[in-house]
Amino acid sequence: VIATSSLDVHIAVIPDQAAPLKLPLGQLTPAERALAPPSGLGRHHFALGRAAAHEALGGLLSAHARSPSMDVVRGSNGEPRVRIDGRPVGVRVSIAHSGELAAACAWHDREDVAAGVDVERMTGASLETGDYLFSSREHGLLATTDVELSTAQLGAWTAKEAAWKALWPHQPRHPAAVELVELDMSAGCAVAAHPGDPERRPIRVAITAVAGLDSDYILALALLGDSIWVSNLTTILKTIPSHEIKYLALG
Amino acid sequence: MMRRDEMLAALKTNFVARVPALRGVTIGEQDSFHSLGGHSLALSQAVSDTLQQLRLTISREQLLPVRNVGELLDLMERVSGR
Repeated sequence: VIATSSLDVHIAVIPDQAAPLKLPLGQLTPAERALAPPSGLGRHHFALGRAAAHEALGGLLSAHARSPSMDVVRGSNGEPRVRIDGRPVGVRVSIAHSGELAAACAWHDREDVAAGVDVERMTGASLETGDYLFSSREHGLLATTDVELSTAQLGAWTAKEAAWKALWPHQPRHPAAVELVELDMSAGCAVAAHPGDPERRPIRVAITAVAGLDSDYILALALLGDSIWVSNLTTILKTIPSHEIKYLALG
Repeated sequence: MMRRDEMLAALKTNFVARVPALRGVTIGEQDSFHSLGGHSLALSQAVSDTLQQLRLTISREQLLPVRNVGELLDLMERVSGR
């Protein structure tokens, strides 16, 4: 739980436990199951992501009402929409998946704040994509970081994608268009901005490593519209040990 | 000049190589990157792989506004026809 003066964000991180697909799917509502890809890895990943979303939402709503009929469907632009008993509620969720790990964060909907989460598996490989993913300014930030370049690149990308999600519904088409203006990988924080945002609001991002069952991952949580949270958030995220990653009771 | 269907085939191959979950998934020109499962990093890398294989140079400013596979193919065709 990330508590600031104005916003509580609940985060859940769930590894793939290689359980039969019917088990995580069985925890979803019929409306959610209908959204899942028909077969294959995509179906498995979808179920894992929705499971993380339910965990985050359960934490956020436990003090109020945790309904068994709560589900996460898709809005008109593909964004996750939370419903209880089939009706929209004032709660938002962001979902991410990579490799064998899913993450989600949930918060009460407000006009002035928003959050976004992203997770990426660490492979140690450099993100050799020319100037597609990073602007020249970002390449400058990456060149001066004090961690290994491949880690810095992945951390920067994860921060950009989390920030991109926090910008919904005013996000650019591609997460790469969100630009990092500050990056401190050792401290685990970054500041992003969307060049198309007329107010140029800063998006603060906390970045940390998380141990999954198969690999290490980078997790980023971005918040838009709250200026005091970042040091606490980074500290809290850094304290997530692998044994606190949520395991579902999948039988 | 490479044909459009050959470019699409190269893209599909690289999408699946970077995102195994897309194996067996029908990928069409109307598909946005988001509709392909939101694997934006891996899909961006697949686009980069494809451009490199086909020796096409497309700037960041041209690539970022692309909405779907069809628009990307339009761009690739324009560049390859120069």
